[in-house]
Amino acid sequence: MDRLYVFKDRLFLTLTVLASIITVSIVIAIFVVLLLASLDAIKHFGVFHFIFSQTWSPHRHIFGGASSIYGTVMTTIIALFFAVPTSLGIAVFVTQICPKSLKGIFSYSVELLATIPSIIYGMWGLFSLAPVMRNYIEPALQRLFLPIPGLKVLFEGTPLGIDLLTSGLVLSIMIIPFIASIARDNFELTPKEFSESAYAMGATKWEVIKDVIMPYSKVGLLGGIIIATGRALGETMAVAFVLGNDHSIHLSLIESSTTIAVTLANEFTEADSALYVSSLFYLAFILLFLSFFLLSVAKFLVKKGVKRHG
Amino acid sequence: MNQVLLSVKDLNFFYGETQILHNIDLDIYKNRTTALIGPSGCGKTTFLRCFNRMHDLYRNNRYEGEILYKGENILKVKDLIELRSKIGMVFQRPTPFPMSIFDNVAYGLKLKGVKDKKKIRERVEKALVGAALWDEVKDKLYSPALDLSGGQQQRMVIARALAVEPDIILFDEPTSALDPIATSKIEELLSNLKKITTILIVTHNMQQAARVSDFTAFIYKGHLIEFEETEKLFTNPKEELTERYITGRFG
Ligand SMILES: Nc1ncnc2c1ncn2[C@@H]1O[C@H](COP(=O)(O)OP(=O)(O)O)[C@@H](O)[C@H]1O
Ligand SMILES: [Mg+2]
Repeated sequence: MDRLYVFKDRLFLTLTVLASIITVSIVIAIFVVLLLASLDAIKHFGVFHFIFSQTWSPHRHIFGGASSIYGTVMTTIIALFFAVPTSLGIAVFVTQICPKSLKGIFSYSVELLATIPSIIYGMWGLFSLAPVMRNYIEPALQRLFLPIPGLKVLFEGTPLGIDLLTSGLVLSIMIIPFIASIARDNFELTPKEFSESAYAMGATKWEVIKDVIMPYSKVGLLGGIIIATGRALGETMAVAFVLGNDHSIHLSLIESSTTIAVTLANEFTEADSALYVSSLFYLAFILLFLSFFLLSVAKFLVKKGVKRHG
Repeated sequence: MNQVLLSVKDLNFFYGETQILHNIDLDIYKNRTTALIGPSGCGKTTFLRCFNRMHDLYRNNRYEGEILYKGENILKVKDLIELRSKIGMVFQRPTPFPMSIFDNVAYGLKLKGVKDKKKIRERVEKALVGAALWDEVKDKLYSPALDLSGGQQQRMVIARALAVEPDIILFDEPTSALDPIATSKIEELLSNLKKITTILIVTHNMQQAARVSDFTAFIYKGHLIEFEETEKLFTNPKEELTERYITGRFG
């Protein structure tokens, strides 16, 4: 009897340890394989040059990752620019303003956004959003911002609808459910006594949200935003259709660009030299590194936040 | 001698269809401490939260009757923000806001739109002295309030209420989350506070009521059973229910 228990215990322990070892090994293996596969390109172009050169010329066998990195970062920044305020608005509305009876429906419909496959977002972007952007929104933005000297560079060029702005918008809609639901959960975690305390001092609803609920949720929110950022960085299908595949850096938001993920999806099949393949792996390594770094920061912050709340 | 600050007249309160408070009549005297005692669930918190209209935060809550304050019925007041700056509240658990100690104590002044930095500093110091916390925090006013101990946090919350110089502070079992030492500090503080303001305190601890209050109201199932000077109520209660409650013979 006792022996059987001990045996079962041991078996269980061994299995769980094994499972975690396997998981960790896979992550390490991916890192190592990517690193090995990029070694050629790393030797050839170095770190600094690869990150800052935008020449991506398969014919001349010169590969610089700057345009892909720029596109990745810009689309992500645009996505966050739209998604963060919108998500906070949604979370404030759902937790503080809308009547209890409608709360479920609103929460649910926002979460539904997260279940839509990214390829569908890409198709929606290409067939629905891009024409609207090209014909209406981008010309309007140009009329608005071109006369302003500082902002002129951001809106120059012929509106095509296939550009950084459209991609950023599609991405923002994709990440809204993540940020909004994490924000909502965090807002609801704020103990009722704390908001009541502020109300009891004569604070208005807006002051309670701004001074108590938001700061209370700050750390959790930051974690949510970083997780969403990680998603936006690596998203492929949603932006592949609406970004163009243009390996040059334009400051204008209504110009085509590319991202690391899009470059990888488009070019592996046509990579005809070892250096080309290796350069693509190098890009993949950089993307993994970026995501890994962001996620670690998020984990750290969330942990700190949990401690804070006690 | 005993000057009436607030006068509760025939107060009824309902959560939706459920009536919780029944025909309560009670005077609260200025610069005195009034304790509300009674078994758990009898409506003490509900009663306390009528004075600053906290029930307005949630739907379907209904008041009937009057709480007269400076000639006005609190239950009909339109400007709740003004009302709540005159009637402070301290909760069971300390509720430090996620900001520095200084900003916490200055929060009510900020809400009122006080801009004068010097005046704010003076008021914050005065409030912290009043809450017997100044010596402990004067060197770390700008560190996060969340770093204070539970007892210190509760005294800071009291300072936060004091800073706007309210006419009355409502306390809802302010020591129930604290250890005995922190509790006795708060009780000592309460005894001093009535010099500068009026106190209405809910407590389930009868010894505490006896120690800190001048008047005691015993509430049972939403009815005010007896309201008396504390000493009289505890030594010579008029009602049998009160006697049974204070002697612990409650069935
Ligand atoms: N928000 C609410 N909705 C409905 N009933 C409530 C609510 N809050 C409290 N009650 C009920 O009102 C009664 C009095 O509660 P409360 O005032 O909290 O009592 P006490 O503070 O004396 O323990 C209890 O029966 C409780 O269940
Ligand atoms: Mg209570």
